[in-house]
Amino acid sequence: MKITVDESRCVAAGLCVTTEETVFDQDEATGIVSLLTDTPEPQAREAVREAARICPALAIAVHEDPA
Amino acid sequence: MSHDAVVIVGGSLAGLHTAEALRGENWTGPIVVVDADDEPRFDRPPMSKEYLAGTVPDQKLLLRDRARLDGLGATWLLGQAVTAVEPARRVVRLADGRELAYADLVIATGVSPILPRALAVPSAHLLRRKADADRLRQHLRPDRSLIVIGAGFIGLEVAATFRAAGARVDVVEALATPLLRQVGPQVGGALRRIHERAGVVFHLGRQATSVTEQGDGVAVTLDDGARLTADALLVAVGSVPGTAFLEGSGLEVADGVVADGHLQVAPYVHAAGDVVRWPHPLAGRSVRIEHWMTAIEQAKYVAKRIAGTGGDEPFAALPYFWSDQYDRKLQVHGFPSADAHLELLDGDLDADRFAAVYLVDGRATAVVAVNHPRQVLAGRRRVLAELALQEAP
Repeated sequence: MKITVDESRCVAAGLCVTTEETVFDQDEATGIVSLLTDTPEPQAREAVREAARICPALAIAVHEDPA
Repeated sequence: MSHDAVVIVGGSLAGLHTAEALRGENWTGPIVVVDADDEPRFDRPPMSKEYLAGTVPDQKLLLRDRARLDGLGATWLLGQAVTAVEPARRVVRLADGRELAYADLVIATGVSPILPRALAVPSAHLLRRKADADRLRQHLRPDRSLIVIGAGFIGLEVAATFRAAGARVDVVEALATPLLRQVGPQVGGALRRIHERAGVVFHLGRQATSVTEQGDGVAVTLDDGARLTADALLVAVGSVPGTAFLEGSGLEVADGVVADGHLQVAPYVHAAGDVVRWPHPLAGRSVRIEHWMTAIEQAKYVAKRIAGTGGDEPFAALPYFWSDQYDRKLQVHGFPSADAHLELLDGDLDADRFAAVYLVDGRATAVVAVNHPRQVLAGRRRVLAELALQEAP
């Protein structure tokens, strides 16, 4: 799995950080999303998918590994 | 007439997300989105900020690109108003007389800005549509001036955008503090000082009694006799829910369409977005919330209810909104109120960053922060926990 974020869409609600704080982080001042890693460990992947689903701004894209 | 389609009235943020979420819940039936507006679906928050400033291209303002919209497999009836709803027959009527039958109806007509008669000169600006932002931006120059009537979020964000571009800005507000109803006197006062340091001139506790056009500009008379002149006038005194088409439907309207705790208005009739008033379990009262994020959360909830995949519990998402003014990001989660006690968590109200909670009867009902996203998330958790306690019998 590889993830990308579109900072220009982010509204800093922080839902991704509360969903998976080993992968998502926020800028200290603006709260805009940043990635701690773009290739999450297997145990974090379901939470990452959930974060992408609940992101109101659709700012998180999840690229699954080809089967 | 076959009742197999979900008909969504209003194709902006809430309506679009309802359609998308229905497909996400594997709802395969027809979806028809009707909107009186024929403008493509644009995102509104940037219209008073980055888009108005000219730093966001048109393409970025689109909520979805063409391919993504087409991929939804919905029918879009744009530029067509719904003029009546008949819940007993499960049909809506369009302006051209056609009727659409529905399996489920979603009311997502949003709000429109108010233009009081006394301020209604032809050149007065409102801000709701992309075309409004494009027109207002023509005045965004250092040698121009703007009068803003109404110190709510749209008024203050536009004031900040214009000051940042070097224009002269006057803000007229009937209440004693900007954003008094939205964030209370202390935080409102802190925002006032930020604007004043940036050079905005406030006229607080004042009402505009008349506006006249003169030359290429406007003259505004206030209730204390003061007279302001500027190149342009923005009226941002609030908005009204789009419920006129529900007259005669038997559906209850009271500053919004009235829904139950499940956002249900009547059998097979749901509502989402700025237009809906519903009893919020955590607020302990009925609310109507005009936040971008709440509209999306409601849309997803309503889609689950229609698809039969969720929404058994009442809709109780904690409201969240943000506002960007100058280099400050204000974030609020919960239900701030003007009479709450404000407890600082970090910094002070005039610092570059601060966070605070609103306490009512000793319980946190909301958290506010400026440039302090970490504290605001911690505060959100606290608010959720303490409001849940309050809810328990």
